[in-house]
Amino acid sequence: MEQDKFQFFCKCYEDVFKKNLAEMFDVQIKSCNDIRKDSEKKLSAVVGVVGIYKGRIHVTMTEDLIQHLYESANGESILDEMDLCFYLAELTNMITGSAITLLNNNYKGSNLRLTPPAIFADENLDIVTPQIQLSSHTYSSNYGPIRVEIGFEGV
Amino acid sequence: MDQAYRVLVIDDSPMVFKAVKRAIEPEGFQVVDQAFNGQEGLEKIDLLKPDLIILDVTMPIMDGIETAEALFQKNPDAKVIMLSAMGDEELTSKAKQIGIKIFLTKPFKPEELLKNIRSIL
Repeated sequence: MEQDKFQFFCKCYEDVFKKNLAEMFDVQIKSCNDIRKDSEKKLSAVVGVVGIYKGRIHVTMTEDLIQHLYESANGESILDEMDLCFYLAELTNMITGSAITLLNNNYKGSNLRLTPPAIFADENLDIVTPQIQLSSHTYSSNYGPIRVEIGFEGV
Repeated sequence: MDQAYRVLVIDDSPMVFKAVKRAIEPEGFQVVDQAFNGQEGLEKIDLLKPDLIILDVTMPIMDGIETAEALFQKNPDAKVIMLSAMGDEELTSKAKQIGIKIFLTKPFKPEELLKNIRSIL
């Protein structure tokens, strides 16, 4: 992916992420230092992007934050870890889909599509996709930190 | 509503299924089942004969576009609302081309979904 498109996508992703969290859940986020050394248990969702460019988006959040987001949207608690995983997967899917839509509309012919999300759970997880250059962003919120990694081949 | 309209959700996310149920069942609609991919969806359509199908795009095995194409070939009058995380011009135009009349993007507002369900039924 060309550098200008990559930068455009990263900017779209951050804007969509902040807007969705603020509008849907009333959660404000701001940039912060790396969260990988925190010992709190986190869940990661990985969504693939396919088309003329291939990429991966990793979104990592604490269980507390996912629980809070779900409660804000639905007025009830999630009871088990599987539902937390499903909810993070769906959030990642929605946010990535919105950002990809903006890229596709701005750069006609890109025709990028999502692949169904995968979920990983661990206390201190590094997910690495070879051959992909990552742009990493870490945010803090009142309910726990968030890490977003955006990577495409050939940037 | 004398008899509840029956709705099938074809989406690989259990969370979307729950959100649709929560949005429309209090208004008298009956969400009869969930299918996790298009292939399973087509089988459940044959079995359950729903009045309306809410169809995702990105799914494993068979995506929403392929599912809608297969469905409309068999039943051109099927009522389908496409509900997707993506909504770019190319995708929405492809969906329109194959016969999708309503295309909504996630996250959806319950009242928006209900308004569109009422307009298509």
